[in-house]
Amino acid sequence: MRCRLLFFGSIVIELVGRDDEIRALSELWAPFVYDSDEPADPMAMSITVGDPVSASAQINRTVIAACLLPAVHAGVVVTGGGAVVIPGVSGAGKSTLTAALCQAGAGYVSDEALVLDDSGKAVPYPRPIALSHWSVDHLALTASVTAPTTDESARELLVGPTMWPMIVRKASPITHVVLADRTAHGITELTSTSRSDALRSLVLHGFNHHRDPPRFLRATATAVSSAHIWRLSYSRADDASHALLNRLG
Amino acid sequence: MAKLRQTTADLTMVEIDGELSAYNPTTDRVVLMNATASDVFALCDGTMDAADIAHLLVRAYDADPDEVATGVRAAVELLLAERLIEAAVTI
Repeated sequence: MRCRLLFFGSIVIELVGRDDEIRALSELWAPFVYDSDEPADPMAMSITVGDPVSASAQINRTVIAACLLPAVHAGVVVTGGGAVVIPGVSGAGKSTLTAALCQAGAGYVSDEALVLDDSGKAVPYPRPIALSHWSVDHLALTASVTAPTTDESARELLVGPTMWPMIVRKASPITHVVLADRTAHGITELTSTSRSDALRSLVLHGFNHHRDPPRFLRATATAVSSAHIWRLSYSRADDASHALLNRLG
Repeated sequence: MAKLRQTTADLTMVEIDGELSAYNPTTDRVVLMNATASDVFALCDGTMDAADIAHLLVRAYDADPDEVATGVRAAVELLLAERLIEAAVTI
């Protein structure tokens, strides 16, 4: 069995492995599966499938490294017709917050990368959301969770696309950027801040700014040029998601 | 004091709500300027030194001259360090 994934119209990844392994992985990456029966594509990058969590991490690394569009480390959802961007590094809580927002009804774009087209819109990258065991318990996510099978990938669980009410399929204009700060004090606060703060955050969290810095700067500036910018202080992702959706529409 | 001018390097500039950001290929760095630094950069046209710029901005901001002068000095230092501006050469 062969399965190919297509990202951003040009990055092709071919999965190689046992049928059951490929079937499990293709369910997790379902939005990107584009064929199974065509002859081998010489341009495709090949990934040997084993443990789904490790293989998914490898797919993600490959896609981000090959991505020619400006990409920023961020969670992204769609609500009220526009994209809400939550920039942040790994471990900052953006995947849990993204999952909570999707659980509360927002459309899923990505828990990993804000990918920008030339008009500054957010291009969907709905990879399986990688969550800690704590986050899965916190959000009471029970179905469609893929557990790791090897020790080295035991830190994360994967939540597949079938968990979310809506997967976003087309590029969306960015209407809000949320600079989130997880704290211990338990109060959810949302305050307005400046677009320069948002630009600073997007530039600092760039995945591939080195590839074409002028393009990256122009794309991120365009992305925030008509967005509302917020500082979010929170401790519980479920509370924060409801506060955000109530305020942002 | 030396007159200041913008670098002749091929900068990529963007503006967000009146604040400039620049990518300088010479240093391979992005500089995000605050409002004062943005105004200082815009005024570096080769005809004014830092004191002239501060004098102009005191009137524009209707602000305390010492505070403006301090802000302009800091901005000039940053912009020179980032090689976004340079001393204009007079012949």
